Amino acid sequence: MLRIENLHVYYGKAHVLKGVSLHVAPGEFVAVIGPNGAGKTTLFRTISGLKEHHHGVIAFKDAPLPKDPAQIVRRGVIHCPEGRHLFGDMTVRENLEMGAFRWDHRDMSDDLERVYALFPVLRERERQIARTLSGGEQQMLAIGRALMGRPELLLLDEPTLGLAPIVRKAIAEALQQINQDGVTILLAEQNVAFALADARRVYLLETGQIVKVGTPEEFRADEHVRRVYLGGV
Amino acid sequence: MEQLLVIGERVVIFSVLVSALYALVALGFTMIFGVGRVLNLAHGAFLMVGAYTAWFAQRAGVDLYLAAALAVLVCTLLAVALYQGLIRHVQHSVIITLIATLACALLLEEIIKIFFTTTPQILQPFISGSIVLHQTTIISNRVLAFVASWVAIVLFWLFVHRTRWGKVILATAQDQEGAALVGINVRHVYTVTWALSGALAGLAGVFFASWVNLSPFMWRDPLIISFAIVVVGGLGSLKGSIIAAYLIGFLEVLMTYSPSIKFCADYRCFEFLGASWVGVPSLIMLVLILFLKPSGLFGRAHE
Repeated sequence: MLRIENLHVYYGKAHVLKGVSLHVAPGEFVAVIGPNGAGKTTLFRTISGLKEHHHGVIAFKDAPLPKDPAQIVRRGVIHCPEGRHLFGDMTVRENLEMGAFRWDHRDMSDDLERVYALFPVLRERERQIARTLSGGEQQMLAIGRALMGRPELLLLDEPTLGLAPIVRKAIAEALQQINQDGVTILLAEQNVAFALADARRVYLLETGQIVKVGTPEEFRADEHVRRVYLGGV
Repeated sequence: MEQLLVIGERVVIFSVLVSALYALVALGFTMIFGVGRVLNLAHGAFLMVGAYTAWFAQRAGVDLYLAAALAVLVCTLLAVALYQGLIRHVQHSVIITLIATLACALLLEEIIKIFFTTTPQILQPFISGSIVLHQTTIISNRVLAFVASWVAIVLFWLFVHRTRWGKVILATAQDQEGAALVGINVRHVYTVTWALSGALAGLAGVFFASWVNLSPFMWRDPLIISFAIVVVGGLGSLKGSIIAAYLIGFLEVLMTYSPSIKFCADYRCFEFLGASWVGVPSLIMLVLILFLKPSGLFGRAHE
């Protein structure tokens, strides 16, 4: 579904992604793990068109993705960014409605119901201003807004960063539900234990290069991963 | 005592009238800043172009209502041209944008000097005559400018808060990246805001000419007014802008009517307070606000 080949991205003179290749099959739940600064966010921003790339291929359903973020959204690739980027002065409901922007004037009550079923707290907070929500609620709203665009491929960048364990659990369960409903997920996650619990296939990104790919079981068995990322357990 | 009451009445009436116009003057400036984080120093020059377009059309025998429409059209096109031709490419740098928009204002000033000289011109009013309210005589055209300003402000508010396009503009103002990621074409939104800002400036220019004469230097006052209003009211806040416009308008009119004290030594005279101090109170307020509440009366500190 998503195929990235030999992707090179620069910030000024800094060579951030050095020939990244990865693929995601329809219906998969894939995670990209790696330490802070490895290039996970840059990879996601490049896929969704927020950052341009100098060299390499990004293909979605066997056709190259356009460069303009708005066009990429229309192809069904929706990015839920690090830092959420909500519309802070709008209500929860208005944020969700903006999420359905690409569908113009169509009826979105079904989509709203689906989001409210996943995150019931958003229904309670429907009229609350987004900026005043707690961190966990804001993250749920960011995921909900992305779902309103009816993604075929959902890019989730660090969705549980800095959240309480109980909120993290609720979001992790929602992600499984979203994936079971047929949405392909590509997740960026710094916390390797979380990523190995959620995803079915994992890429390890270190200083701009994919150094390992495998199932969570293979990762848990790997000496390097255990020592560096799982605290030697 | 009787005379003081009359002056008080005039200050209130005139400041209510002129402040609405100030709010309209600042509207487009506020929007461009709120949505695109661009301080458009050519905003006052847009007003000037609007006023001169109406004046030129009127001199050529065009009806003033049509001339005003023409002014709005010319300013809309001018704003879009400036955005597409220049600002779009330099927007990422605050300093370059400031210099570029200021250069544009100075260029327009020179162009007007070349074609129309520096002689002040008068735009014939929409309606002539005056009305008397209690003991105050008001030029009818200024009442029209007041009403038209409020109509434009209310229509603008309805557009932003009640239409789909308005919501798209608000979303882009609140989070440009979030907007791009729901599929909004941010470039289109910027182009539309520049077009709207130009249209509002054109309209404001026509009505501004009901208070002042046209000259190639007339762009400076509206720019300073816009800047003061935006800073005092809180960057990008419509409600704050209107309240700030009324504060500044009131202080200016008050200063026009305040008695002045003259000090003379040798042949040089210095006037303290009075009409020549018109611009001072708003600048003092600007400095005070920047010290006490840098985000403006109604602004929130942006992260």
